[in-house]
Amino acid sequence: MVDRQARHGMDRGQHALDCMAESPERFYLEYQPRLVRFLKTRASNVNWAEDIADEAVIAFLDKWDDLLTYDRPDSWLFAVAMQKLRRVEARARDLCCIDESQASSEREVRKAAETDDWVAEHLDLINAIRALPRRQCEVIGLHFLVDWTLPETARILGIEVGTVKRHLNRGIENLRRNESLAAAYLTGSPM
Amino acid sequence: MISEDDLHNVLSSMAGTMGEAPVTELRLKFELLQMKRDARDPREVMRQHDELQATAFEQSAYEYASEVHARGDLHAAAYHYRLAAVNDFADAPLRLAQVLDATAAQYLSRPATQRSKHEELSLVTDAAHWYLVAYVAGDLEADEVASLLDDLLTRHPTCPRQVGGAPSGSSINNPGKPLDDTIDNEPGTGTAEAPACEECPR
Repeated sequence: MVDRQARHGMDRGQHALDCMAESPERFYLEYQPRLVRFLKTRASNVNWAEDIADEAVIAFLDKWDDLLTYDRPDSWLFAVAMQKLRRVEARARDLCCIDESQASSEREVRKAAETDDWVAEHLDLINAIRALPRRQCEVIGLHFLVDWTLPETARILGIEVGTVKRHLNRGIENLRRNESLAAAYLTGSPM
Repeated sequence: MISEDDLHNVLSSMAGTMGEAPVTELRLKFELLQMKRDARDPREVMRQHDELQATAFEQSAYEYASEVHARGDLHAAAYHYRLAAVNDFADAPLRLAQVLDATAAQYLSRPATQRSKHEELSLVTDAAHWYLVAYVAGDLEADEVASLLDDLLTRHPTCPRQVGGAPSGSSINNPGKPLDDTIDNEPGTGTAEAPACEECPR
């Protein structure tokens, strides 16, 4: 018997393959907004989010025929984009040319909000998610926002499911304790 | 504090609109992306291909490190975890720190020499560095990293331990004697042998 999560994963994989069967443009329309917005909730520099999403999609198009044989071509796209972002940030940290402060993060989100209504509508929540430690931020983004199951999230991040659950629980607790988020929620302002 | 249910509701409403974007704008972006892809010169294609290969290489290094770690080969595990950790792959920084910590622990049961002390200190420093990298990445919480570092430094005290036989007449045992007088310069190395510390014997 196939469990619910596995069923969900198979359906999602089939959906991605159906989009690919239709056309590259169809796949792009379906996945690009989610990918770039996921990256915006995590990248220390929002311009990198756009560039990395573009590069990941180009890599996807280059590998198109191979990916048609994958069960989950969509998870390949997110895994590649995630690792590209981590590499770029690791390099920037080595060169000391990255600002990972809260103030800089909030500036970046405001900048992203100027061109993306979705970011503008969820400013407080995006700031709260970005304030989490990186691993918690990634797990919250992939599981709750992009709607990957826990095993899929684990596969994208290359870690064990138990570790994903640990980051998820800690991330939820930290978000619940976030005072700005609580204030925005209680006053009913856009989150 | 927001209740867990409310938080889930807020996150799911945010997720619900995450895929929505003006189709005309997206179509235009896709056209531009196609043009950008077609305009790549062979060098750019090669750069992108290499970067993809590098990611696959990090994954292979991480998987191989996990295998050899499970078999108890700490040196090979550290080498391969490091290849993945420098680019922040998966939880490689934390795994690397744990392997370095375990490797340093092996020195505790060996006879101490000048060289082994340097190696041990270098491993402890490296392990502490990678524990901190793992903490900053979020692989460890503040209390966890504090406890790991505390344990690490307690197991490997920073004061120098005795090398070879028990020294006699050191300044520690002879408080009246100047410290400099107890340091023997080791010929050929240009380094000095520090006096033994009785508080932290092997």
